[in-house]
Amino acid sequence: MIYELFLILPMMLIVLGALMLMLLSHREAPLNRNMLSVLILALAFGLTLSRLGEAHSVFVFEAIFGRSFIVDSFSTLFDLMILGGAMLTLLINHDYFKSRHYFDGDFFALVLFAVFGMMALSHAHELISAFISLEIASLSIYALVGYNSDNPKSREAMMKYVVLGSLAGALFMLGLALIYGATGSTELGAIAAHIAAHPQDAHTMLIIGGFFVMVTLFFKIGAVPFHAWVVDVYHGAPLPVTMLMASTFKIALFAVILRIYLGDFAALGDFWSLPLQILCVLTLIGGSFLALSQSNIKRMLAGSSVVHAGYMLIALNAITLGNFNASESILFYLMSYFISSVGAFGILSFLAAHEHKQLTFEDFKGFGYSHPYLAAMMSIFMLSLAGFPSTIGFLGKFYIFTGAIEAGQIALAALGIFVAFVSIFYYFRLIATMYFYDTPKTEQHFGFDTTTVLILLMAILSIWGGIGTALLPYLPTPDALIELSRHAITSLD
Amino acid sequence: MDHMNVANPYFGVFVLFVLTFGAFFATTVIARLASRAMAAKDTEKLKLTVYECGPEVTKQPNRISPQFYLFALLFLLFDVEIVFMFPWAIDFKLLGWFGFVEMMLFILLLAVGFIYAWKKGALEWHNIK
Repeated sequence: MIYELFLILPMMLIVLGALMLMLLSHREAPLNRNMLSVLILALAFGLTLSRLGEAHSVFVFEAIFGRSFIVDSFSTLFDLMILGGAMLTLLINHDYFKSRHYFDGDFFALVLFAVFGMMALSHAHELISAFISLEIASLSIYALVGYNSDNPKSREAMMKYVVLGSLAGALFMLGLALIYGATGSTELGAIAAHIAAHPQDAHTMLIIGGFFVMVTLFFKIGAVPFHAWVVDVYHGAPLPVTMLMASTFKIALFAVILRIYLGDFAALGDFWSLPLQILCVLTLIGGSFLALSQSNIKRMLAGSSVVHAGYMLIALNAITLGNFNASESILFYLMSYFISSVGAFGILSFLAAHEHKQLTFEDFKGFGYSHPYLAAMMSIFMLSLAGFPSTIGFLGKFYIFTGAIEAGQIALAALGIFVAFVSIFYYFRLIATMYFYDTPKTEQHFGFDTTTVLILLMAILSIWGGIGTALLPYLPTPDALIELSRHAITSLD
Repeated sequence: MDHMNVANPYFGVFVLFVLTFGAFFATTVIARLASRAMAAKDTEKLKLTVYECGPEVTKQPNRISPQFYLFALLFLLFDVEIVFMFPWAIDFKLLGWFGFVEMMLFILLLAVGFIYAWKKGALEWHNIK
């Protein structure tokens, strides 16, 4: 009892912190709510960190909740990624929060509720719980997207996301009803037992239900053809929310996708494989077109996040074909994408905090001479996102493509590599714009503060992830991350 | 098309299903085209007025304050929670201390929401002074 309470203590902390921030939100007293929420997240992070590495798998309060919530090594790793992601997102936006008047206590309370929903999602071992957790996270994010209600773009983005997101949520419910009808349970273990006990061709209804669930999850990660909202919503949302959606929320979604398709629906892999391949091809090609056609950096990063989702779908497809090692490459890719995209968005948010302007490619002309250090770091993030060797993005793509080739998906891996070459166009376009134009503006320097230090940290992490293995033999390396992920995945079986 | 399972007992149903969709679609299109071609286009003023069972159409004299919607939402929130309390009250002895603590937690969460709404001024009638 006490041990189980200890296991869910991080989640309880987050909820209590969110409630506290909610109640404090009307207070005028000067209070650094950003740092307070970071502190709460850090406490939960520390508590979760103490469990990292020990193999465990416990159903929380099994007598009361059935087997709907699980705490295992897998969820622990994902909790750490979600908490760390939210923490870094809040910290890197420190200047941005100060420069805008509309970030009050409610904002941070909503962020914490969203983080709670994401954590619950990685713990869900039952589809209704998964749905509720998904909705807790989604509803908070809907509100966050439209948080700057003075900005019509922000309101439009919220409306789009709410309407399309609720539709996707309804599809999840429909799929769930079909799965329940087919198997008589919504608990993942019971569904797996049902699949194992019946012949392969007796699962039509279950597969249709599974497809509906899949549609919802792929809508949320923004895979083509469910991507119509991505660019507008990412553009309309305040930058911190865009970062939260693009990186942390995606991590949580892959937690539940991996749990469902790796553990319990794995036996039906043959049926998932073909639609996943089609989705991969569509997502990679459609996302590239989306990213190529943008003139705004925020929109370009939003479009390219669709392509990155496509790379991870390649690995997911390799999993359905039986190459379970590919799941580690998804985890590694999530981390590498998180580091590079949060860094790039962080620079945008830093500039938006200090120089009020719309950040298009035009604005970046001569940026390399007016802001030499920031431009250098931006180049690192762009290289990493494009998957240039010696950055963490390269290793992430490398693991994904080798995983796909091991599973026999050579055509898909080749398409992935081709799309990575295409992505060099729009990432290097920014680098070229920064360095190939003169600027009348004088050189500007910024001192060290929370935001700049974190941007620097992200840049160092991108490089360390790429070549750290060779340079620093005594420090933890990307291999250690892979080892950690492998360890976490084993707790699913 | 050798892999198409014609022997499936539901294949006939599927064919009918597709045909029904086609027939439905065709009917709609034909009806729309026919009505567009043949209908009398009469835009007399009386025809276009709103019909309200005899009496003259009345105009809303004042706008409805959005405060009503806020109140309705709050009412819904706190009223629907009562639904959870009835079964709890009936099975109170069966659930024992666990049920009691659980319900207290639930009410605590509600209370936090209530205090939040209160402090935010959602319970005050702003527009009437």
